[in-house]
Amino acid sequence: MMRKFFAHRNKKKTSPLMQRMQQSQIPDQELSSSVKENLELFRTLLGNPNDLLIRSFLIGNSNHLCAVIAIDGLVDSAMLHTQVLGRIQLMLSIAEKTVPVEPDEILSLLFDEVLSVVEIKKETSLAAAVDCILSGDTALIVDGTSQIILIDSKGWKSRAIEEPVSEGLVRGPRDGFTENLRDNTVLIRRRVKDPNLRFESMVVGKRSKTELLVAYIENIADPDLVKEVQRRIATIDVDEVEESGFIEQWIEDDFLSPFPQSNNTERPDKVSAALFQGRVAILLDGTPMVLILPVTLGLLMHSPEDYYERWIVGTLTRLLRYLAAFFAVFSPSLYIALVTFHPGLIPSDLAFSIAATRDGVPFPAFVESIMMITTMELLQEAGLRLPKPIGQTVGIVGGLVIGDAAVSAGLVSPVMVIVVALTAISSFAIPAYHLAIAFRMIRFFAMFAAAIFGVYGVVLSLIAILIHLSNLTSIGHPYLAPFAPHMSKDWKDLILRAPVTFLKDRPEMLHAEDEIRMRTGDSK
Amino acid sequence: MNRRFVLPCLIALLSALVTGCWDQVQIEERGFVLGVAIDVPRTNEAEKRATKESPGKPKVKERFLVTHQLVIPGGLIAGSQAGDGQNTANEAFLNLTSEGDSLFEVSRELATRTSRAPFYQHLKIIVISEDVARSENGFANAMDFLLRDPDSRRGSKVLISKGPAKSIIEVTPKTEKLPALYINQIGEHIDRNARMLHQVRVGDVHEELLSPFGFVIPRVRAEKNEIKMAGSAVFSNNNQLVGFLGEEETEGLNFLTGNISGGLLKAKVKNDLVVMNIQGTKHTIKQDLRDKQRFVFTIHIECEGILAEAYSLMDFLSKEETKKLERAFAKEIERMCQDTLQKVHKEMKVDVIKLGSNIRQKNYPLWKKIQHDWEDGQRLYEKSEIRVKAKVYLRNIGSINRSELDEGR
Repeated sequence: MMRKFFAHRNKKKTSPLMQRMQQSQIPDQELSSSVKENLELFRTLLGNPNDLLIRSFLIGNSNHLCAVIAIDGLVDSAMLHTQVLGRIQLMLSIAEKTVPVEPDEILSLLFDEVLSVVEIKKETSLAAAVDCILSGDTALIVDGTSQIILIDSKGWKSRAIEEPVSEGLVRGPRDGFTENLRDNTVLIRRRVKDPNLRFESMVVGKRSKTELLVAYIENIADPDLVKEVQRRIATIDVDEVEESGFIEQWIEDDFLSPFPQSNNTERPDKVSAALFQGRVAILLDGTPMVLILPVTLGLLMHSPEDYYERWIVGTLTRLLRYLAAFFAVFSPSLYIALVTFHPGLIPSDLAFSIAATRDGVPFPAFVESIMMITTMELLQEAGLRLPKPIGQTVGIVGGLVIGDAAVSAGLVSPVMVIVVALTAISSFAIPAYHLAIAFRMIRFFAMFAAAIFGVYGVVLSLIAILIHLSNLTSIGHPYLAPFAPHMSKDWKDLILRAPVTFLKDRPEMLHAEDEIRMRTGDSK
Repeated sequence: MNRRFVLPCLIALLSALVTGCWDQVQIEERGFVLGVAIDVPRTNEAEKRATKESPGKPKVKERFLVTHQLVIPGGLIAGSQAGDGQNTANEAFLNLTSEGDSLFEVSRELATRTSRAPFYQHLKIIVISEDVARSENGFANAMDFLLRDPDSRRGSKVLISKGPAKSIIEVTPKTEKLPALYINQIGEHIDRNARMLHQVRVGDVHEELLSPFGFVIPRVRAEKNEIKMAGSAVFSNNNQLVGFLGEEETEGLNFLTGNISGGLLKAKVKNDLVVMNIQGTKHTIKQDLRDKQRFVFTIHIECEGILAEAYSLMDFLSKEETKKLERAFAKEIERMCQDTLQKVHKEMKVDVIKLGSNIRQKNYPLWKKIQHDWEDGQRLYEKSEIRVKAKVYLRNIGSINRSELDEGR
């Protein structure tokens, strides 16, 4: 019912949006054969910006007028000097090439012989030319012909490859994706030397024209999955796409769910592992965050380190993480339930000491918990916004000062502080930040349920969450996959992480074309 | 807003809020009852007053004087500011005594006297006085509320006090802040001393009340600052207290029923004392039911342990000497068992060794026939013969063989 309600609202909005988009389109017209007219065309179309580079020059003895157009900063100017302008002028004069008179012939000469650039193409459409110039190409115009040459001269300042900030590991590669799409494909290519690796290029954003790559390995990934991802991306119909989060939200299955239906990472090793499993990755220009699809709850609970460390370590860490997930969601609600409804379930001595410390606390346990948990959320949010050195101070001030002061002021009980600390630490132990956020939201739901029905409510909320999770899909793949529907093979790499020699197959749920990873065992 | 959206939300919210929260009580508002002591009122003044107030009220045979021990949590924290009010001694407990016709009545009456309503889920001990237990149906009546109330647990320990039950939970022990926890903890020491009966919990009591046999419940005695939990109270099969067993008799009973998890055994060898630390026992009952009027039971007791203390000078490493020692210990076990049997079999005539239950397990058709003639009717239990055969294995003599030489004496 909700879905229908929102869909209805969406439909209404789309029509004016479409109109605006159409207005933004560049008039699809052919280029003129005159350099002057062409330059004028570009100038007016781009609004004569001050970063527009135009260099006109004459070549050959016939004094043909030529021009080079590019956007300053987007192009590698050194390359432009040596490989384009330098070569045109030197080659033609020193090599004493006879420059033909016909403009088309000049163009062909330049294209075929003079320009020593790998990526180069001819173009006659104004729209295509402008798009290319705006993405860092250089246009070479020759007077007398409506064809122009587009030279790939992309070369802007980009961040160096650094260690991923949001996903630190003790053991594992230190490189992370950058904002530059080319760097990112390099990082993946270096790990996946399989000739079947595919980067399907798409452009999203009516105005931003952001380049997007759908990466997968041809005979591993399920072709239907790739098709479905591409179909969903093709429906994206917005002006601008700044971050892969836009893509994620456009193509996700259930926009009302608190759970993330795709994984995002800035670790190339994580992406290559996912590709080899038969998943699809979406790379977007301008962001280091790469999306991995489809995703399951189990996958989000995994960290690459589980595989890099030995299997015993990996298994125990995973168990610890599942425990952390339980604490992150349910520890405040269990506290509320036990303290207000079932003190008989607490060991006697603990019950008395909780009762003693709560003596004089003016609020019921539920209000106390909501207060403290909200404070913790505030601290977390404030710590994120502030620069690093101050952020740490906030943590200390919040943790020690507020916690201690609140206890001695009699606002909360010391046990509550322990519960909050446990909850916070547990939610940081979840490897996927977006999953941890989902858990933080569910925590409040469980707390309300506990405040109304006690442990019964906690169990009800758990059931409600499980119902939702088993109903959820990620690109049509069940979110709780190896749990429900049950796939016993995939359990080897779920809560436990079996030794690497046992992990012979790719995940069953992905319907990979090539299901077997390891053939050593089968040869006999 | 959309009515289709609001209505379900409202229904869900209301049904949750209207049905929920009904038993919500904050932990600091609960009066944790740790111990309950049930006595017979000494005077009938209160009774007279109540009759004057409402002459038509239903009469009962026996009224109860019930003492509840409530925790004052603030008193548990050393030097805390909580509970400052009237509690100058910084005591962690509060004993409230009330009289009434029923236990439930007393429990509800307490709500008129304390800010924290009684909460029975942490009830540790229930002490019932000898007088209540001796009165007709008194014991079962006293237990009914605690069995029936869903809020009280079946794990609370039940004790019978020699003297007023109130004085048991009113002791002020030095080691613990809460008397009830102190008594509860003593009950756990069953593996240290064989003179203590295995703990009987509310659930066990219920089982015994419903069973056709007699049973025993640990006996407890109060002194000024401490209690002593040794000996046992013997109940007949109509659930009435018939008498007490002393400490040694209780030890004998434990051997007879095979309920020994630790303790010691003294014996005299060569005119000097040797003490064994009991590590475990095994016990089997052999039935000879051929003579329908005179059953013969042979109780085989196997006991193993290590030497704990020896004043007698002998070479414990020699096999013959050890055998002698083992025989001496076995004789001691048999003596204690015979003493116990003398009392429960010959004097009290109560089947606390559960021989009847043994017949029921092994020969059910026979039991069906004789079940009404066991302790009552033809009194087959009384007529049967009970033999005890003990065997002791000394597993270890400790770290040394001798503590002094023969010449030293």
